[in-house]
Amino acid sequence: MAGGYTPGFHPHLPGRGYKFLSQALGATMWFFIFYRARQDGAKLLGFDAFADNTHGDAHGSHH
Amino acid sequence: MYLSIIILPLLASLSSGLLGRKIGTTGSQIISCSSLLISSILITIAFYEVGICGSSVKIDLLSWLDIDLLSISWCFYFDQLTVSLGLAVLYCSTLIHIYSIDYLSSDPHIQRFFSYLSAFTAGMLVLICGGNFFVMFVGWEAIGVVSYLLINYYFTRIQSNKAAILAFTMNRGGDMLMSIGFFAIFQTFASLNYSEVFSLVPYISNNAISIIALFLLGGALAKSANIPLHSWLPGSMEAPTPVSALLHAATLVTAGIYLLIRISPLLEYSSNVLLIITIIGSTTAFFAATCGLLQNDLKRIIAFSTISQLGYMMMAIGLSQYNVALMHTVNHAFFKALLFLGAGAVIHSFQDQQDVRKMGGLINFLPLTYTVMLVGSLSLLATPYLTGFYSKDLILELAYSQYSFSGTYAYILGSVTAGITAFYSFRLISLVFLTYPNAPKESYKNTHESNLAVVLPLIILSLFSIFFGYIFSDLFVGIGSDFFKNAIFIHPNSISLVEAEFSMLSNPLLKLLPALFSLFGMLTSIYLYHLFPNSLINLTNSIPFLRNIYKFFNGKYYFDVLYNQFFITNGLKLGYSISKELDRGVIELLGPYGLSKYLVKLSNNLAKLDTGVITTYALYITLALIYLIFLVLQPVFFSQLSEATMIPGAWGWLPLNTGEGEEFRLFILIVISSLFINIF
Repeated sequence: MAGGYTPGFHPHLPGRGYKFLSQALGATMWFFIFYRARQDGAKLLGFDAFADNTHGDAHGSHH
Repeated sequence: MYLSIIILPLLASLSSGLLGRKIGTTGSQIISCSSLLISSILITIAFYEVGICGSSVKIDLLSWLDIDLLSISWCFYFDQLTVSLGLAVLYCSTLIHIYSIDYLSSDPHIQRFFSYLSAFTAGMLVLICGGNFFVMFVGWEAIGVVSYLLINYYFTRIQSNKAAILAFTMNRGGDMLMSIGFFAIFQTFASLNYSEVFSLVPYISNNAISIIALFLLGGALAKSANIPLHSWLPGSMEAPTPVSALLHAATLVTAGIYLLIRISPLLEYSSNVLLIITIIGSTTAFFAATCGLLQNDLKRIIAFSTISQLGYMMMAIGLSQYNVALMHTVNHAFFKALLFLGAGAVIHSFQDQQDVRKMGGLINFLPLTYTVMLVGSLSLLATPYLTGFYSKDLILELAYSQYSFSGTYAYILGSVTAGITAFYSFRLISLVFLTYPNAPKESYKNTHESNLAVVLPLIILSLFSIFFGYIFSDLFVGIGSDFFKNAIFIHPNSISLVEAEFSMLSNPLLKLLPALFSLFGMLTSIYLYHLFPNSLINLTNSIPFLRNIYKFFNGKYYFDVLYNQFFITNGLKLGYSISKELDRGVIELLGPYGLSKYLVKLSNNLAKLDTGVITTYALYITLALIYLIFLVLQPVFFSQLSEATMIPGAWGWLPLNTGEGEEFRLFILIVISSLFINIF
C-alpha cells in the first residue's frame, strides 16, 4: 500500500505557477489602472477636461 | 471566407451531433474547438476588412421565396455592427468551448453538449449576419430552440425541465410579438430587406413606425430579459456553467439588444418608443440589481447582474446612443463570460457547491480564480480605466446630458444601480473568497485550481476585461469616429456625445457620482460581509422593517409569486378549459358521443309513447290531425295574418310573402315538429 491515513488537514494548496499567474494578472490590472490614472486622472476628475493626453504626454501642453 | 465564419460552427455541430459515435469524445472536442478557433481568426480578418477598412460585404446566397409580392433570399450582410458583435460572440464562444473540455470531462454525453454549443454559435451568427428580417428570424428561432436544449441539458432533473420550459415559453411570447412586427413591416414596406425598409422609414407615418417598433420591442424584451419578461433568465442557471456563460454573456441575451440596434433607423423615428425603452431599461437595471443584492446562489447573483447590465444597454438604446449600447454589449460579453467561467471554476472545485453562505476563505486555495473574479467584478462595476468603465460611465453621462425627464430618470437610477452593483459584486467576493471558511472541512480538502483548459480562457478573458475598453473606446464611441458608418443611424437631434463630454464640467460631482456610489457600495459590502459578518444578521433580526426589506429583495419582489398566482395558474386553467370544453367538448357533444347519446334518448322517448292506453292514442291522432291541417293551410294562414296587421313593423321581420320565405317556413315547421317530438 502506498501510504496510509495521516491525521490532520491536508488541502491541495495551489502551485507556484498559479500563484505567479494570479499575482501577475492582479499586478497588470492595478498597474494599468494607476498608469491610466496618471495619464487621464485629471481629465476624469474634471480638472483638465480639454487636455489631449492621448499621446501619453502627462505634462500637458507648454505652448 | 465570410460564409465560412457561419458554416464552420454549423459543420462542427453536425459532426459532433450526427457522427458523435464515430469521432468519439476527443474527436468531437478537437473538431468543435478548431472550427470555432478558425472562425474566430476569420472574424478578426473580417473585423479588419469591414470594420477598420470600411468595406461592407453582402452575400446573396440563393433565393428562398419568390412570389408576386414577396421576395426573400438567403442573404448575409457583414457590416460594422455585425463584425463588432461577431467578434464578441466568436471569441467568447471559442473560449467557452475550450473551457468545456475540462469542465465536462466526466460527462457521458460530451458530443451532444459540443453539438449544442456549436449549433448555438452558428444560430447566433446567422442572426447577426442575416441580411433581412427573415434570415434574422431563422437565427432568432434557432437560438431559441438550442437554448431550450442547452438549459435542459441535464434532462433528468426536474428543475432543468422547468427552467427550460419557462425560458422557451416566455421567449415564444416575445417571438410572437416580433413576428407580428415583421408582418407589419411587410404590410407597410412591402419588403423585409434591411436596405429597402430603412431607406423608406422617413416617408412612413410615425404611428405605423411606432407600432412596428413596439412589436419588435416585445421580442427584444423577452430575449434580453428585461421587465416584465425577465424571470426566465435566473431560472436558466440550472444549465451547466459554460452554457450560462455562453447564453448570458455574449449570445442569447444580446440578440434583443442587437435587434434594437439594427432597427435604429426605425427607432429614431418613433420617439415614444425610445422613451418607453429608456424607462424600461432604467427600471430593469435598478430592479435586477436590487434582486441580485441578497441572492445566495453564486450563479444567480451573476444572472441578476446580467439582467441589470442589459437594462443599461436598453437605457443607452432609449437615449439613441446605439454605438455606446453596442460597446457595452461587447464589453459586457467579455467580463460577464469571465465572471461566469470563474464562478464555474469555483463551483467545480468546491464539490458543486453554489450557495455563497457555505463558502469563504477560498482565496488561499484558488488564488488565480480569485484574481480573475476580482478583475471581472471590477470591470463590471466600471472601475476607472477597466473595460466596463468606458461604456457604462458614458451611458450615465449621456443620460444626464439629455436634460429630459427620461434622461434624468435614467441617470438617477443608473447611478444608484452602480452602487448596488458594487455592493453585490463585493458581497460575492467577500462571501466566496475573503471571509471566514463557512463550509465543512471536507469541502476544502479537495479544493484545487483547475487545469490549463480552464485557466487559459480565464486569463484571456481577464486581459480583455482589462484592456479591451481602452483600446476600442475611441473607435466605437470616440467623438468624431465614423466607424459605424451606415450600420447604425442616429438622428442629428439625438447626438449628444459632445454635450455629455462637457456638460458635467460645471459640476464634477455629478460626473463622479456613480464612481462614488460604487466606492460606497464596495466598502459597505466588505464591512458587512467580511469585517463584521454578524452586523447584518443583528440588524435584520433587531429591526423588523429591515428584515422585511431583506425578504422582499431576496424574494425578487415576489415577481415569481405574482406570475404564478395570476398568470401561470390562470393560464393553465384557461388552457384546461379550452382543451376540455372547447376542443374536446365540442367534439364530444357534436361528434359520435353526442349523436349516440341523443339517438338513445330519442328512442327512449319514442318508446314511451307506446303506453297501451286508448285515450292516449286518441290524443295522438287528434294532435296529428291538427298538425296536418296546419301543414296544409299554413301558407294561407301566414299571408292573411300579414295582410291583416297592416303594420310593417309588426310582422315585417318575417319574410312570409316573398320567395325567400320558403326557407323560413320550413324552419318553422322543423321547429314545431321537433317540439312535438320532444313533448312526447
